[in-house]
Amino acid sequence: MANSSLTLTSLDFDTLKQQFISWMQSNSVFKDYSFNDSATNQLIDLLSYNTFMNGFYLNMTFSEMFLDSAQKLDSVVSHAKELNYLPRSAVSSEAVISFTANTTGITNPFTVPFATTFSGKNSNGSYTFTTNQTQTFTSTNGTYAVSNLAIYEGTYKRDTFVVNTSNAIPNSCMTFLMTNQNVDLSSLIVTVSENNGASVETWKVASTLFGLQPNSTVFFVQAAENTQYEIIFGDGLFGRVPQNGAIVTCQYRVASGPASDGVSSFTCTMDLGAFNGGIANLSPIVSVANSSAGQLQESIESIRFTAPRYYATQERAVSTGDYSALVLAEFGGVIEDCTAYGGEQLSPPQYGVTAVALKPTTGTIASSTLKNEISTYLLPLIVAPGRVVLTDPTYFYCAVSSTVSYDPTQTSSPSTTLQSEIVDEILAYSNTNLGTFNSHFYYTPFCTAIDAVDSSFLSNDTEVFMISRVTPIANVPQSFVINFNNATKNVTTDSDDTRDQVYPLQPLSGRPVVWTSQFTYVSSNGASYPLSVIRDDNSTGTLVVMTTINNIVSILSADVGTVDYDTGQVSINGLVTSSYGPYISIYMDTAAPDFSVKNEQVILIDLADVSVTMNAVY
Amino acid sequence: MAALTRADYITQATRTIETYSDFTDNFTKNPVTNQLVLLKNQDSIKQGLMNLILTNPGERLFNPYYGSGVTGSLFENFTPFTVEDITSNIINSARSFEPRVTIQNLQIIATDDDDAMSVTITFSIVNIAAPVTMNLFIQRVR
Repeated sequence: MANSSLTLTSLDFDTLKQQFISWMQSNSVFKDYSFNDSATNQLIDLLSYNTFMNGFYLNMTFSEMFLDSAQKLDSVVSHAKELNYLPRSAVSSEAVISFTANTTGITNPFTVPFATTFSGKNSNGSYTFTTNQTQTFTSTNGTYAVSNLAIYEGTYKRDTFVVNTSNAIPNSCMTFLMTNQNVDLSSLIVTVSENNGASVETWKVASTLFGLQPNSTVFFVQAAENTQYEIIFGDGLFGRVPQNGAIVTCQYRVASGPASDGVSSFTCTMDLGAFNGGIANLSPIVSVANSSAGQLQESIESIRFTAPRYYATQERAVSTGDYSALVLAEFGGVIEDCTAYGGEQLSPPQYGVTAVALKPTTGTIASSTLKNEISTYLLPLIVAPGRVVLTDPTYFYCAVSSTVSYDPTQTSSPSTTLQSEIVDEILAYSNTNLGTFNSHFYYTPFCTAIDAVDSSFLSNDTEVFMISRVTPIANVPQSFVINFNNATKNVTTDSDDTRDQVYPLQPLSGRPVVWTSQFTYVSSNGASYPLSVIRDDNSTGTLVVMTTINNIVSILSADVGTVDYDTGQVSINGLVTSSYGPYISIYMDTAAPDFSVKNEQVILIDLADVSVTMNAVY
Repeated sequence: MAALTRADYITQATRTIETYSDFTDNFTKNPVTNQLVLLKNQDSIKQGLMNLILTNPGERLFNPYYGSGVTGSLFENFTPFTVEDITSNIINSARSFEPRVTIQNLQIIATDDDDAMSVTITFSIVNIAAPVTMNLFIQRVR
């Protein structure tokens, strides 16, 4: 009779074995199950191992069956394929160069052919850059100015295949695997040579069946195993089938990704003079734009995140979520985050417009070139062409002043080490939880993260302020409107904070809720006042400029702007400065220690704004 | 506890309590009952001890330290040190993996020409006073 008490729920060998032994304990015939050298125990080992292997296999199989849990790249790619999502390929770094060619014996035009090679070097090594098209230049005096020539890292490779339809499965599509994993798909050129070379045609890539005819000379690209890509031709109904015996050539650039970014000096490694039938002496090559935007192949987690969202867009941008999914799917390597919102939320409102905020992977704002590319990409996908506005992120920072109490008897680390570990944790918290759109700052988990740095920590007294940074042009009246999007602390009832230490200048009654770092103020009569600051008057919301002259705090301007205590909007009008640090920080003490951001706003914690004090408690 | 029967009174002095029981390594079955043959008490332990001695560390699943490694020593040159090594291996492995026995004496007679050895182990079983002797002949087969 089967023993119903046998439960095998673990994936761990030892636990499984123990469960078998527990079951054997109900058997009164064989008693030596507990001893390693008994035959019973060996049998239990075998059963446990078999159960363990089956459990592992089934667990792995079921894990790989779903996009959420798949661990192998091939599985994730396969699931993405079902969603018609093509994982992003490696992308070559792009640089823009200019040079002049003094020629002898060359008549117009001077040609820089496709795949002209240039060599460049950075700290990672030497890289070959190539042109992606043939360009011609003309001159009247034999000196050709080659300007703004785009070159791309990587050399071109070719894969050649012979079509053999005799072995093909009827009504199936032919696939050809590209041999190199680091193919830059944007450079892929597929030519099909038919009729023994009498007909050579470049076929176009297609991503949808829409508009395809039986004679459309198109191919599709899809991800294959081992991080490779393959091309697939139509079935004769949607796209033409190459003739039997046709030669298919895939030409593509093999990219090194971001390792080749940052190359600033180039040399031409091809004899352009000989190519043009003469002699060409090239001037030193000027880098108009250093190499950048190289990308590796899309990672598993990125595919897992992007594929279902891309599928949800159905290749059109209608809802705000569509915009961000499409942009991240196409530009995910250079755009770290993207959010879209209605134009009515812009200032001033633009009704009927969709605003798309872009946070680049490197730097703080996306280049105009990249914005143009994104705009061009979105144009055919949006419902109302021309009704999209690309915006930059508005960065806010979080000033952190934390006093951490700890028990020195519970740790062997000196306070300086602990202090350093806390700072690292604060910055790690920022990297993990902040820095993207719609990532709000929550005070309690932040303090909990500080407490968790070391077991000797007893508590932390942490004060946080919201910061906006401005960089006004010197000696020019400047106006700013900063929407902190958070209400300020109540100016009438608040009486318990450390503003006295943070802000020592208090000629006005009460403590400020908005104040700035120091700068040199230029008054209306042209006089300069160093160490000036702006603060609110703590009553009407008027911002004043003041400084210390001969140890006396003086108000230099009684009205340089306003603050709306309810909305957190700060307006500074006609401010003239002559010098300041790298920027002027505008601090705001918010009503709640949680900072919410919306739309294009991003909040970060910068090391410059972090202050940690250790307090030993015995 | 069940009440003692008449048979208990009559056979009490000669009954052997079945403490350990195992089946045979080769799944021998009783030709009459078609059930697996049972090994009991000292027979069961002897088989277990033999299994332990003949197993090399690393052979058992998820238990890499189990075994004495004696068969591996057959390929060594036979010297007094080899014999001493094998002796300590058997005693240590029994101490680690066979808590039912206490080895009282262990004698190894090596047959140099045959690359073989005769192992005689005298051990006592926990809670059983009478010592048990087991002979084991180990020979290199290749």
